[in-house]
Formats: sequence, structure tokens, C-alpha cells
Amino acid sequence: MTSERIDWATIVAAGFVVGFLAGAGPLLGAQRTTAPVPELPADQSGALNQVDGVQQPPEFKSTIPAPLLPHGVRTMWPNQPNEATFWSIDDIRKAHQTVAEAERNRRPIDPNTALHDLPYWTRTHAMFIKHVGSNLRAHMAEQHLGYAQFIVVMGGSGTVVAGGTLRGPVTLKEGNREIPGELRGREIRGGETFAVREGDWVSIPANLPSLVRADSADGLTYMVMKVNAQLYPWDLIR
Amino acid sequence: MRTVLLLIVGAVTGYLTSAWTTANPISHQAGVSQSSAAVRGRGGLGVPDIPPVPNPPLYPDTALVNRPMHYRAADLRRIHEIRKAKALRGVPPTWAPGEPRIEGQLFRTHQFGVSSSGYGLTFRQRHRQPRPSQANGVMSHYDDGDQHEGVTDFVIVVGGSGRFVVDGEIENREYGRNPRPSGPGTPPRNTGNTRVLLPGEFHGQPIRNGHSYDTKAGDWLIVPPGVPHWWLPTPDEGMTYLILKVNIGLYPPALID
Repeated sequence: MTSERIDWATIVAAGFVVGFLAGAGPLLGAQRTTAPVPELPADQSGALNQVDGVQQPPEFKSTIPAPLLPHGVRTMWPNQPNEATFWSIDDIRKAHQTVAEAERNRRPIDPNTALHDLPYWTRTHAMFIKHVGSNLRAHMAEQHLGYAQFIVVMGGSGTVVAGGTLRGPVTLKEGNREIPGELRGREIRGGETFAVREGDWVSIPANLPSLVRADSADGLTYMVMKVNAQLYPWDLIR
Repeated sequence: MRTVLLLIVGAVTGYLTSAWTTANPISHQAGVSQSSAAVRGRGGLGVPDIPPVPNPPLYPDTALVNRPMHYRAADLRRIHEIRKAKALRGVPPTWAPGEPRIEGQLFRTHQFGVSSSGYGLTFRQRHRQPRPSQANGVMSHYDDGDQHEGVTDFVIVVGGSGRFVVDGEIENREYGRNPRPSGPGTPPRNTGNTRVLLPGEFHGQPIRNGHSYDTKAGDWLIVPPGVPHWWLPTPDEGMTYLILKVNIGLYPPALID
């Protein structure tokens, strides 16, 4: 009885294998077949405006002209301005002088008040002006989990230490409220040090520690563009 | 006779199984029960669920570019001088070994220092003779203006001067195409339909009803998404600038021109 069952099973299994291969064969074969590449018509070959190799006067050749988008009809991006903003280098330098002079007179001001349209906030990025004086004790290293930084030095000179690890990190506290993702520390271990001056840029990816220090009498003024990692509410960004 | 019947039954069963597994590869791979007539993941019918990852990284791409970068103003100015000199001599605007260049960075959220020339900075000039513009073939001394639905452009002028036209509307507006044309004498990018259309990327000229700013080295401009912008460089001077593009979160980088 047992050997009879084995015979049945063997026969059915053999049939199954043959049937399976017969079913899959044509499909597998079709996948391997390479479709021929169609010849491009002459007017789609990238050699337009040429006849017998001679450049012809250009024509308007659009295949799908895009419709006009009337100014102000822009709805895809919440919290983005409708118009461009321009800052001249003259205004940028003047802002540095204003902030530096205020500090020299021991009446420090909010640096963002020294240049028009700052701070500049949108859902995805924001721009701020910062100023560091020559008092080294006041400087803290920072680490921001929620955003990357692109720094443009507006005036003065100093150093930017970035990368490495933050020594003795503590979470920033405002009153009784902790700001998760905003870390502060006294020093950075193992970072790169860049000597910076007016017109220099520094890019700092998210979650890398950084420390900005001034070495000129006027301090160091810079604009930092904070690009949100897009998972963070701005409420948690400092 | 019985053997033949058994063989036929096995063959038919095998054939049907083969056909079913080929037509339903996803459910087969996922081991979904046959009792469910339709395979439905969170992405819809026929789309399997992507298994959740514990503690997904906040910035999945920084492993590739996880280092700070410093760009000196003096190097940036030198790039402008080299590019200007090449433009005046009519030399191809590609980077050559020994010349300064900036190494850009590309993140999921923003990118900068990406330019087809290899210098990392964009250079524009007023062409001495009118030529067909890139997108629509309009005869012009200037390259086409741009309009990006998916990104903000933050621009820092590094060298040269010229007029920057923003806001308003682009006349002769065309969809962007990929790949871009390159090299002198390349036909307009919308000639023929063999290039991939980029929805949300537009080019053309001129810009009507816009605002104009005279720009020089050190100036900043920020162009929100959807706002047309167009460069009119000073003759024989040109302009060099950096573009930092911030993705507003709706577009994959492949759609950004």
C-alpha cells in the first residue's frame, strides 16, 4: 500500500513539474526578449534647426507649451512668500557695522533688526542674523537635531569649529521647559576648525556640533540659513 | 491508464500554479494567503507593505555628506575671474584640473554647489550675438529664465554684475526637460519630444510685470517656489553665483532642474 502511494505521488509530482515548466517557459522567454529600439524620426533626433548640416533660422518648436501662471496663483506651498527678496551687499555690510557699533557702546541690539526682512521664516527654511562678540566665555557649542545650517559671514572675522562630538552635552532648557533636539556644550572634541571672514560660507549638516567664535574687535556677524529636517516643528528649533 | 490520468492531473495542476504565480509575483513573494481575493497594502491594491524600521533616521542621507564644509570668498572670486576669462575667449566653460572649484553638498532637504560646468558655481553671460534660447528657441542675447514649483532658490552673487528680474510672468513659458542640453550650439531643450518632461519646472523668456534688481558681488536673493526669475548679465562681465536650493518637501530631487 505504501509503495502504491509513493508511485501515485511520484507520477503526480512528475506531471506537476512538467506542467509548471510548460506554464512558466513562454513567460520567462518573453521577459528575456529585448524589444527593438525604434528609429527616431529625423525631426526628433536632436539635430533640429539644421538642414544638410547648416544651421537654419530658429523657430518656435515647443511641443507642449506650458500655460501662463498668473502672478499670485500659487497654492502648492503653504507659508512660502509670493515674491522674491533682495539684500544688497551694501545693506549687509551696514548691518554688520550697526550691530558691531551697538556692542562697542554696550547697548547690544537684536541683530535681526539691522537688516530688512529678517528673520525670514517659511515652513522649510528660515534665515537669521547672529553676532558673536569677542567675549569667549559667552560662546557655547551647539548641536541641532532638527536642521542643517548654511552660514554666510557678513562681517568681521573668527573661527567656526564644526563636526566631532559635543563634550558634556545638555539639553537646552528655557524656564522649566526642555527643548528636545537642541543640545549645548562648552567644547567640541575632534571637529574641524575654519578661519572665516567676510564673504565666506560654511555648511553644517544637521546633528553636527558647531561653535562660532570671533577674533576681531568688531566681533563676527553672520547670516545662518536653517534648513528644517522637515520632521521638526519650528517650535523646537533654536 | 491510471498512470496517464495521474500524470495529466499533475501537469494541469503544475501549469495552473505556474501561471498564477507569474501573474501575482508580489503576493507570491509576500506569502499572502490565497484565500484573500485581492492583495492590498497601504499603498493600494497590489502594493505590498514596506516593513516598519525601528527608529528611522531623521536625516537618511547625511551618512554620505556628514561633514562640514568651508568655502573661502577669495576662492569664489577666483572662480568668477576664470570663468569670465574663458567666456571672453570663447573657451568651453568646463572645469580643468588645477582650477579652483567648490565641492557642493546634496541633502534630502537642500543642495548647493551642483553645476554642469564642474566649478560648483553658475556663470551666466550676455551672448554677443542673439541665439536660440534653451527652452523655446526665442532669439535672445540671454539664457532663459526659470520657474520652479518645488524649490526655493537662495542665490549669492560671487562675481560680476547684472540685472536680476523676478516675480511677474514668463512669456513663452515651457516645461522643463531632462536631460539638459549642453555645449554650444545645442538645439533648444524642448525641440523634439524625446527628453523627459519635468512637471513643475518651467523656462522661457522674457519676464513681464516683474521687479528688477541691479546686482553685484556679495548680494543675496531669495526666490520662493513658483516665482519666475531671469538673469541679464552685464556685457563682457558676466555673473557668477551660488544657488542653494531648498526642497519644499513635495518633490523628489530628480524633478529639480
